[in-house]
Amino acid sequence: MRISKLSKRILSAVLFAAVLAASEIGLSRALEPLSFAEWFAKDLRAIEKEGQDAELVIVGGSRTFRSFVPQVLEDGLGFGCVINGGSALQSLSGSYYQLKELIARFHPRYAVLAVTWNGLTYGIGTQSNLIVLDRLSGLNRLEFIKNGFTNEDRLSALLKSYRFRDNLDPEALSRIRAERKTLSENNGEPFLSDGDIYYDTGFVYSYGSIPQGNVPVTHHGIYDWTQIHGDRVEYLDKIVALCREKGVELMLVSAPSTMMQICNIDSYQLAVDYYEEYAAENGLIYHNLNFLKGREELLPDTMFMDYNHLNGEGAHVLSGIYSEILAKDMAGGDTKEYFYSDLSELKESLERIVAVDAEFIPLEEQGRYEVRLSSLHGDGVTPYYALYVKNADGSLEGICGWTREENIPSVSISVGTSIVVRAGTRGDDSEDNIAWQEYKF
Amino acid sequence: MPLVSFSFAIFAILTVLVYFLMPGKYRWTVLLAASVIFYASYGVKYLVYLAWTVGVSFLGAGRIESINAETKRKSSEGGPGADDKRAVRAAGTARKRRLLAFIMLMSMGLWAMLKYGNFLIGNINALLSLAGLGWQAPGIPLAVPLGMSFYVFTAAGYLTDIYRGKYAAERNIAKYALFVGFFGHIVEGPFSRYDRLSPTLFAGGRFDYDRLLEGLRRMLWGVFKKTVIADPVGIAVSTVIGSGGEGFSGAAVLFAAVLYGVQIYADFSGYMDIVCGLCRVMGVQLEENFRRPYFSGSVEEFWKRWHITLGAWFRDYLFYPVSMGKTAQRLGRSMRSRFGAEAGKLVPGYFALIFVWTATGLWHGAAWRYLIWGWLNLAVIVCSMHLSGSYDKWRAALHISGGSRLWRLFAVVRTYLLICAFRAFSISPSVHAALSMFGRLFTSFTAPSLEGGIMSLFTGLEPRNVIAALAGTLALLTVDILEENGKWESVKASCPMPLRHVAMAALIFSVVLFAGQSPDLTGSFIYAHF
Repeated sequence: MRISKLSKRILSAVLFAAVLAASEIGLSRALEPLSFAEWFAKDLRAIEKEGQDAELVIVGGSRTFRSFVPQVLEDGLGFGCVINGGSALQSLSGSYYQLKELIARFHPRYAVLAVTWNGLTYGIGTQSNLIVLDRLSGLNRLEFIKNGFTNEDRLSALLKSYRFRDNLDPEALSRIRAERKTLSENNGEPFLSDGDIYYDTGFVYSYGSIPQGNVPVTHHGIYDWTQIHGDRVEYLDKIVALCREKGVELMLVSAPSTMMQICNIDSYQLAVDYYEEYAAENGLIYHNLNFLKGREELLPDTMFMDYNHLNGEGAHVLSGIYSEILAKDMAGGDTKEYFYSDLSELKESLERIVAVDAEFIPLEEQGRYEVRLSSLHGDGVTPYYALYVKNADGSLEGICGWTREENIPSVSISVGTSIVVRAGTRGDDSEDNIAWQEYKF
Repeated sequence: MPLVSFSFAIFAILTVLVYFLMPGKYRWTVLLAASVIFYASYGVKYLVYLAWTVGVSFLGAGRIESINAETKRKSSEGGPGADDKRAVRAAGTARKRRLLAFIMLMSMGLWAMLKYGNFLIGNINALLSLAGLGWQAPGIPLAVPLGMSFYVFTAAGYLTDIYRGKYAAERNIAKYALFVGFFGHIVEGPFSRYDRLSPTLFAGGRFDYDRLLEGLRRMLWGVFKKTVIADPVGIAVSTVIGSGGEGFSGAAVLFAAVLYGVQIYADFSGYMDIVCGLCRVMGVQLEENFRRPYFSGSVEEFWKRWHITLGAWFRDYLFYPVSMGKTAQRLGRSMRSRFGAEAGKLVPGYFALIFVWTATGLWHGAAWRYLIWGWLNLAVIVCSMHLSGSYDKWRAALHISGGSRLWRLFAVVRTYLLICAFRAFSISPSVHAALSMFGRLFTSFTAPSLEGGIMSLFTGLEPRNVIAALAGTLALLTVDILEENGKWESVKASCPMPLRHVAMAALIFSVVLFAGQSPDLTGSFIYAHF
């Protein structure tokens, strides 16, 4: 049978396109590690298959997908379906497109946007946008490729094999193979990996826990108006406009961090004021869950997996409280009673040392150090400090007794020693709520 | 805009689309607009230099052609005898020569000032210091615009051709501007000749599907060579040679020198593949700049296969004029009378070669190491020309056939190593560093281990990139061997379509998976710095 030149060309082009597509799919499949997105997509397909809509969707960064348990919110609010669309480092542009996708597919009545200061100020990471991109489809996905990425990053957005090429490494490939094998043995069900397990419609259960008083002090600088990027605010406005257009009631929330984080950031109140003002201007409800009354009892350090994220247990507690607050908001009630009015009020109520930090400066004499101590605490609290050597059996041996001094001029510390620094409000060992840190030399 | 980048990809796609949407006779205007945009992307202010070269050379060529026409008319007018006609032609030639010299000064003089001014001032200052004088001349605070070393020479070649009456001058300044500033050759060549490029440049070729595929395949091959071979290999080269070999063994220096040969070939020929491929899509035929140069059996042959258009330019516009000029001819006659006919025949050529290789060295860079590089090439070429007869005798005495494969292999490897050795001067930070590196070959030649030694030279690269570069080099070598033996076309033709598609997909995904460090897959091309 004679094939015309045109037909040969068409056949050749189609075959070439097929070879390219097969190569991209094969390579990306081999190189792409397992992610929460796979189970999230599966859950959403199951919801769609049942013909269900979601009453509430939540979007935001990592504190979103680790803090809000859909099942608990469904029970608390009497909803049939709640979807947690949070993802790691989700930018405001990512939240916009994620929300757009969820609204189009599940027609929620309510949407919650989890907001942070970083969302207004940090550079948008390619990786975080790629995570959102994997959750989008159709024209929404194409629009996000156009608007959410720079020229340099567009190749990552268009080709997964490019994005995951760093996994073309024996160790990484072996790990991916092992994960896929475990997935298969688990019949496609989620499994525990690195202390996390995908749990329920976007929520991830984390098993990590910080011992009470042992939150390490981070150095996250100062919040400043000059840090705000105009294009981030633009996406915040776009989210508000999208919800208005689609008849979705939008609420803003800030998920909880540890008390260390709240006390540690200079001008943290600036972020609170910004969002309160923004919410008021746009007729939105905003809650900062860090200001929950009774949070010290409800969400102690042990409910956090790290300085900034609740663990699974903490998420369940928080979701229970939040569903109560939301229910009252939705009924038009006043929920001010649940919260401290501002950071000052919160810190006034704080009666413990939240976190302690020590800096060891080597002195001229070998093995001797100057120790500079500092702590984060409630406003009415005076810190006392003590230094110990930790013995091999775990017992503590005092090297500097309780003192209010923040500078210890000279301490002898040999290599291989562990030093424990403790801070308390009473200046003795009787206190329950001691803050402490261990330093290995 | 870098050639391997998203912005260039968008630029190329839009240029091709608009080119073919435009009616045929206006398509060259699309190339002109694209060339202006392309060059302006490197800096709008550089357009001023380009405009100056275009303006001066266009006007000059027109004037020279007028003198040509006037001289021809006057000498063909009835009446004057042969002597008068000779006088008219001589007067015309003298006028032309003065005008040509003036225009060259205007055009090339600016380039020379920007490129060599600080080199000259640096040497003067060194002499002043040696003489104990405190005063130092100030430097020129301007850099050579990108591509100026290419377009100034393109214009100079055109002017010389008009001077020689080779073809008629272009009457349309916009077309002439396109010829000089064409994006296909402005950054790294090739050096185009007006009579060879203009037919396809201004023709507004029809869309041809086979040409489109051919062009795209060639572009892909160029991107592969640049990103998978040249850039990763270049990391090891700059690790060793960038530091002048300090802290590295002689073996590492040798390895880096050999690698540099791979890097510069893959880089430069990769660039050529990209621009030639893009031009091919639009039916524009650029001249080839490479013909499997590393298969050369001698340095002389190498320069007929490497950067072919540069060599041809120096041959046509420097070597022939100098070797046929009065000084060289006088020298030849003098040599003939003292040393015989052979000397009389060769010396004018040697004399011209001194100019050619000095100019070639300086063209590559304004520094003594480039001059030394040029002179080393000259020395080897002259020696092998002079001793070619003796070589034949020695080979015959040793019963080695000059046509044998073994001899050819020896000649090829010898030539490659010589070229790599000469390049040590052009890429080292200084002459001293280059000599120091040579010294290491003899004083501290310790073979590095595969694990900590060779791999550690590829700083910051994953082993997969190094393996891919090696595989890419082998692929490049295989293609070159097949081309050299005239088998490449038949291999391509006999390859089944699915296999061809798999090969293309393999090239594309090799670039995607193994291309160098930069997020947009690019590093700058080497020859753009000349």
